[in-house]
Amino acid sequence: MMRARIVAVASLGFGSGALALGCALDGRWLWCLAVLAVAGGWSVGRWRRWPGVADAGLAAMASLAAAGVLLGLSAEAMLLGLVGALCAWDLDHFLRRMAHQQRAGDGRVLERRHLGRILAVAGLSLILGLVALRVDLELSLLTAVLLGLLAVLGLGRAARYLYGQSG
Amino acid sequence: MTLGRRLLPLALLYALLLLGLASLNGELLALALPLAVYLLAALLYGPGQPQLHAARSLSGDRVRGGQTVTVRLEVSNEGADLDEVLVEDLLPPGLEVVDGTPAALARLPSGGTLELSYQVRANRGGFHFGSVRVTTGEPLGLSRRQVLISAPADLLVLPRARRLERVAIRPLRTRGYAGPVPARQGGSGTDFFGVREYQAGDPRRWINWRVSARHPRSLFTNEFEQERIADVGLVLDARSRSDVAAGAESLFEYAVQATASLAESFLDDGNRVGLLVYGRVLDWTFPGYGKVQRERILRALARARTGQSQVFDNLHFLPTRFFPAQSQLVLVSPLWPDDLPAVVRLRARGYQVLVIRPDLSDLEVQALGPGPEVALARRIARIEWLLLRQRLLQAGVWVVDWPVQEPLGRAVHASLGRLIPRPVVTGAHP
Repeated sequence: MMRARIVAVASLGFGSGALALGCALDGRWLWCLAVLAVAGGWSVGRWRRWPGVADAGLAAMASLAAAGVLLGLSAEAMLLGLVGALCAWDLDHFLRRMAHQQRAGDGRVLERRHLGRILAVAGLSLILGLVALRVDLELSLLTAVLLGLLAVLGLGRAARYLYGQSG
Repeated sequence: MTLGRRLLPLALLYALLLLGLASLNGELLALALPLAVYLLAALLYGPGQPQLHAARSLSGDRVRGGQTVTVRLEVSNEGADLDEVLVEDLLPPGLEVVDGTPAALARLPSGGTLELSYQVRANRGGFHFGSVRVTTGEPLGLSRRQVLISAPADLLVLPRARRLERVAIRPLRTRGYAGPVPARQGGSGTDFFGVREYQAGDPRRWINWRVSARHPRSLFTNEFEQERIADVGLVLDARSRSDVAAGAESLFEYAVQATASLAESFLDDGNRVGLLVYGRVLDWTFPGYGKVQRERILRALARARTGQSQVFDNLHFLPTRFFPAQSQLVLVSPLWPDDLPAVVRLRARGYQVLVIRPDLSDLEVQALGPGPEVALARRIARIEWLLLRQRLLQAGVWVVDWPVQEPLGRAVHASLGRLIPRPVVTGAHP
């Protein structure tokens, strides 16, 4: 599981670095410190195996990224930060699941497949996100509300599907 | 964990979308894209209905307490490829895993097999392995599907029995076959029984010349006590109130071990032995001889559990019709003062009663720690027991006090050596 650990650490470093850089470029040093504090807490929690630290870390990083966008910081840096945090969060959970894994051969196969899948998701997310940041669309309030309703309904169905499968 | 794990990206996605739409900020919507792609990937690669088959094998289905048993479980995939499979064997309570883990996470391609091997141990009991829980999921671990696959197997752990030297019993009635129990009848044997007038056919070396010299007109021969086998009824006290725990130690487990050891000893001597487990219900093993009976008794002891019943709360309802008249009864019980009349009644009906009393008080004191209250409580309990013991002895009941940290054999032989009366000489005295 060494590769997954390395990628998890690198993702957290990359995500928090991007967020901190975005804050620093705009001279918001307090926000920069907040990002580094969250990343530090996440790293310590990971090392000490605190339960729920990855969930809290992702929620905090996403909140900081959203706040950064609202404050007018670099949206690209915020996007990179969120993708890094998402990868770190996913790999933390993956490594925890791997505690049940017994055979080294199986572990390597699972690790390789998981890393491939999460890197593909991260790459696609970055491409789509960066493209979306370049696209400039004028939406009326009605269109925005309709799109919002569509998104809420679609996500609701997706959530029900996910819950139903696990039940 | 899975629920929270699924909820978090969904909640963040909702929050970013709503915030972006509310503030009409497209950059916030772009920020939601990684989360949307992540959830979409989990949906696309979600697992289908798994088609799995499980087979289980045990290295032994009947072992002694403390022995380890290797459990092997094979889960084969008869359906499509499964990216992530978590196999968890649901262990029956009471089994301790000593090596390996009863769970494994692996990738299981179509036609592939996942093998799981671990070792378990138990003190005693019957254990039924039922189902295996299999959780399949996609690599991101968001969507999961759980199924239970049947893989039955049974394991019987017999109680540990320490080998005992011959336990000296002396019932009023014995059976017709030769054995080790003094029969209270003259005949051929080893122990001197009495003297009677010479009868034709008596061996010359049995003639008692000293007595014959005093009676010039007749000869007298020595008689020896016949030794035969006997009926032995073992009664195990399985009432809840008789089970005292001191830390991890249980008085009932010691009582079960003692009963198993006694059963083996009596059966080895050729006696006919029966067992009654007296607790929530009456679990009766009909008297019998030999190895088959030993197996029956050990299986009954493996299943024995303490329980509570209003009817069998005291020994008044001990069913004497199970035991042959005037046979030997061995009661393994800590015994309570209100049990005294029932035990005395057994004695009055002609049974020879031996009480084996496991004593856990030393371990209890160790578990409770030093203190004046503990010392006083122990002293009071000791005095109560001594009074009860005195009454039992007065009624002709034999009592073996067994501190459980000592070997049972030592306690039995130390006590019975003092208790067994000398044989009553009933032969004709010249």
